[in-house]
Amino acid sequence: MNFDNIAELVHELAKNPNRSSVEIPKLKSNREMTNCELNAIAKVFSQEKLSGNSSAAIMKPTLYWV
Amino acid sequence: MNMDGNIAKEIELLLSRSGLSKGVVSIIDCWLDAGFRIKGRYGWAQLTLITCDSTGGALEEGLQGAVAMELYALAADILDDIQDQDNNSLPWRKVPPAQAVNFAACILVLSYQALSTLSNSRYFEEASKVLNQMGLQACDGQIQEFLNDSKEKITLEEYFEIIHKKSGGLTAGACKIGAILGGADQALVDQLEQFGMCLGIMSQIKNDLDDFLNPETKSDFIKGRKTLPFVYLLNVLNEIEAEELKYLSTLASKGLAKFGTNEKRQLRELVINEGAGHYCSVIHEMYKQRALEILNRIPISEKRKEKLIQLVG
Repeated sequence: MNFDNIAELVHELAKNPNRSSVEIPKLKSNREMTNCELNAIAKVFSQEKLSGNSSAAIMKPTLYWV
Repeated sequence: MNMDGNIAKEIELLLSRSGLSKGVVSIIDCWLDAGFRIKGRYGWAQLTLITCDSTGGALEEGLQGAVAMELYALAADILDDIQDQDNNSLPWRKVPPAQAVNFAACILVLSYQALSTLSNSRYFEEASKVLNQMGLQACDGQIQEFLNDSKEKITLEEYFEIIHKKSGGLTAGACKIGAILGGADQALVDQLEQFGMCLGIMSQIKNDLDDFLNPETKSDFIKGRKTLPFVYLLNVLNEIEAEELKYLSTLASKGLAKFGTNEKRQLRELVINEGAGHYCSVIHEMYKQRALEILNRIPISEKRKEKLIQLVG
């Protein structure tokens, strides 16, 4: 997992007021990112679009360990 | 008897045979109950038993390992809360730290005692090795995290290296012990260990984001703890926003009295507007996908996988 590249793209998207219309796979150029990484980013931003809430947490583990 | 009933009975048996005085046993019982109120009943023991069951192992075979994990995790929680000076309502935070440290040591020894009751010597040897390795890794991660509190910045790689050891290592250890006691072959043990690693990291990321946004109940931001939203912000912010974060962080380090409603709102806005929440969600999603991919590959029946899939959420 390339944590820095993901952070860079997420930050760019978060700062983009038109992010809901951005096609995330097109952003792959010039970045070393896997499809899996791009799919996760696309999923999180599309869930935000659906919920209309940028702070909505999608993280729901069944049990709580740490 | 259900799974929880069996775990409770095994713990009771262990305590009754431990030679500990009644007063000490009663306090350990009370502390176990207090932990359950926060984290749910026997989460660690259940994880071990669910993994054992998924590999075809019987409940009785995994029980000692499950109890060892439950007690180990309680001892680690107590030490963690003393280090962080967190969770003040819990009973181990209401006694002098020296007393709480002694109880944690006692519970840790009980954890090893639980494993020593395994009748299969190969299982005992392998599970003990896992518990030792897991413990050393978790301590290493915890110490690194502590040392990083005073640093201005760490990289995302450094953050993930620490939580692999500290958080992922414990859940990986629970799954590995469960798989060993279930009689899994080495390849399956390794895969379930990796699955457990993903669960722990997912749990830590969620925890990090929740705690970062609640400085009144958790001391992460006040202590300068390098949690994921904080490390992300430290690495992506431009000069102006980085100054804002530094101002908030310096203010928080002086105590909650200085960190009022406006500052909390500012911090929340940084998290939302700069994508820290999104980043936590993306990484969480990636580990979730990785966990599901591991489950997809492992050679066990769909029925046995079902409970493991439910753990991923």
